[in-house]
Amino acid sequence: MLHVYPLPPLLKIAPAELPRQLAAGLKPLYLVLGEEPLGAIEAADAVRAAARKSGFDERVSLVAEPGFQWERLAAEVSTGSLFGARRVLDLLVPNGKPDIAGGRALAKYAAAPVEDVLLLATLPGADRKTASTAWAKAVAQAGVVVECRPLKAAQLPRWIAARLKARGLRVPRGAEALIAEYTEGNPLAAAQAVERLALLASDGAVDLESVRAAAVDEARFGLFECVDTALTGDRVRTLRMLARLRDTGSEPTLILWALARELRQLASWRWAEERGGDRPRIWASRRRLVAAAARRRSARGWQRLLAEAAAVDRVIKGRAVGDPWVGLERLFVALADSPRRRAD
Amino acid sequence: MYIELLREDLLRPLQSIIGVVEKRQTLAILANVCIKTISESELRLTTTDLEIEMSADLNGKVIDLGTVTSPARKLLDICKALPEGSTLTLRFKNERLYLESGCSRFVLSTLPADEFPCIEGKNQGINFLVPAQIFMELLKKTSFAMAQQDVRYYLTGLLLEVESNLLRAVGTDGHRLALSECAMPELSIESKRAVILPRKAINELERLLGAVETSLDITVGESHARFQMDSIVLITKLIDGKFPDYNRVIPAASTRKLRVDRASFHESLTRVSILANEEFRGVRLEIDTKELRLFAHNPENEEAEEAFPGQYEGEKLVIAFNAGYLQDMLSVIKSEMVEFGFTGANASALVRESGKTKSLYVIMPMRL
Repeated sequence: MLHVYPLPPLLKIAPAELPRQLAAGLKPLYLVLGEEPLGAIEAADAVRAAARKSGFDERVSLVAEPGFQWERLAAEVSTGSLFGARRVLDLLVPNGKPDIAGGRALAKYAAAPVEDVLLLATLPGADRKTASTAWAKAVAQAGVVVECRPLKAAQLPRWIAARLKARGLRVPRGAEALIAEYTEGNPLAAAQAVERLALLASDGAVDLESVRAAAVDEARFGLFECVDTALTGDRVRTLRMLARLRDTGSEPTLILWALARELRQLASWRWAEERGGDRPRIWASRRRLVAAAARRRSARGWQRLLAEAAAVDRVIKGRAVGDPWVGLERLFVALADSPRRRAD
Repeated sequence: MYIELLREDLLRPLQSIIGVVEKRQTLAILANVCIKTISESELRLTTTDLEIEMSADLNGKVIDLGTVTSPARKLLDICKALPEGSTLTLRFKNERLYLESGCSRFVLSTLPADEFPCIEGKNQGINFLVPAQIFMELLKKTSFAMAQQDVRYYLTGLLLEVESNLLRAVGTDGHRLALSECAMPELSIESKRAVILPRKAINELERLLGAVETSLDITVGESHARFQMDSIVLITKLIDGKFPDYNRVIPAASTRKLRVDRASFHESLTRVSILANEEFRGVRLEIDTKELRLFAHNPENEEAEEAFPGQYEGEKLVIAFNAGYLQDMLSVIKSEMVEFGFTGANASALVRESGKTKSLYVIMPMRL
């Protein structure tokens, strides 16, 4: 009688399923396909942590840049360690595309895995196409393929809710939607917002205002928000946001660029108001904000500020002595301030 | 600064210290050589990559004292290209270095000498002398086993241990280990010192020591080691890390012993490994008391087989090694005979040179 054996199931899982998979026992091979960087980093970390717990003490790292000698992988696998340990072979393929030799080497290892070696291959940026190659299928037969796909906007709230829950946070309804809104398209920022909340909330309870603050703080557009806050004339908040940009390692050059761009726009807007002529094009949503702010100074006054910005630029580039942050602070305060109001 | 000197007097020291100047630098000044007059007739050249600093003293006629830094490789290329035996002058004027020789004239850019980084606190530590060629042997016997690149950064260097009456070097990449010792009859220190020298320093020392006949003056400090030979000084930062306990790795007693003629075994190995798997170059030894054989085969089903002379005591053994590891080791061994000690097909093998040299090697086998 002819026996038909079913093929073992292909293990291609999402990062969320990884902890359960790891808890069920280690496989000799993990392939992390990372279109979404945060997911890939966390998945790889989870595999390393589980391996360490199971006595894989030694970690050997291989980075397969283009031109990598893939023989090194086989050589590393086939020769045991003098130090006697179980080893994690941490293979990173930075461009996410192992060449033909690389695919062959991975498939070969998948065909004959070794007991005291756990191969963790991380391929940042690798996509579905990579996942469907012959070698990736061979890998899936012997090990686990973790596919970190970019989150769709609609998935983000649920993903955030899971992270909030994992951190033991009790949040008011709609908190995850709020975080998702502020950090859309950037799971890393969303994850950091959750981390920040976890640090703030000592007993796990968080109110909506701190959720908002945490989310705004992590938003990608902090730089432009800082400029916009200055336009509204709120000096205190402007300086706080500038300090935050500084603390998070923003480049003074970038901040000055955004600021100077705004000053130029204000100057030409004001110039058009004073002398007539075409007003610069401004997004409808910002037009009122800019128009109101522009009225605080004369066109000449805005140009004087631009000259000051040029002086700060020289400081940043090291052509003049001074602290660029002090110069930036002065400019932002000037932008938020109204010289006329002070004269009253 | 204004000096006059012979091309050869400048060329050789410059060639000796050029190795630390990287092709690409993080700091522009690291591409430069610092030229400093130290007396009426002497000057000192210094190069650095912040990890290793090399300097060479040379003779020249110093007309005007001073210090300057100028692109090292360009200066070397000019020196090389000038006719043999020519005299040249170097003059620092208006932020430029003017080099003149015969009908040739070169104007080189400079950077301020006071910005040239120098390694601090480099002269303290245990100081001793060792014949240069003996130290060279020590390096050669062990440096091949250092790791090329490894997250375990301490394996990318060479362990140097200084004890009373003894100097020991150990290199390992996790799969193989090489250890060599030399006697230092006059060395007496209170406690043993163990430091890890970076790979690049070892490479530079091997390059320099080949031509040195005299002794080498070594100072081993807390964070630096200093090597002085003739007129050249090399100072290197040490790798800060804990080297693995090599004693734990050396197999104690081996039940099976193989004794072979080094040269003929090396030749057999070279022939057989031609048909080894190109990927990991495995060769198989099948040995018993009657017969010693080497095998290799590759994915194309090509095969090589060779019987080799030697004596074996112990149970029959089938064991495989990376041919490259064996060849690296056999090419640094000088003795006529080599002894292998095995405990099993999956356990590390201990290899010793016969004779009185104190070197040993440990190699992990490959899975069959």
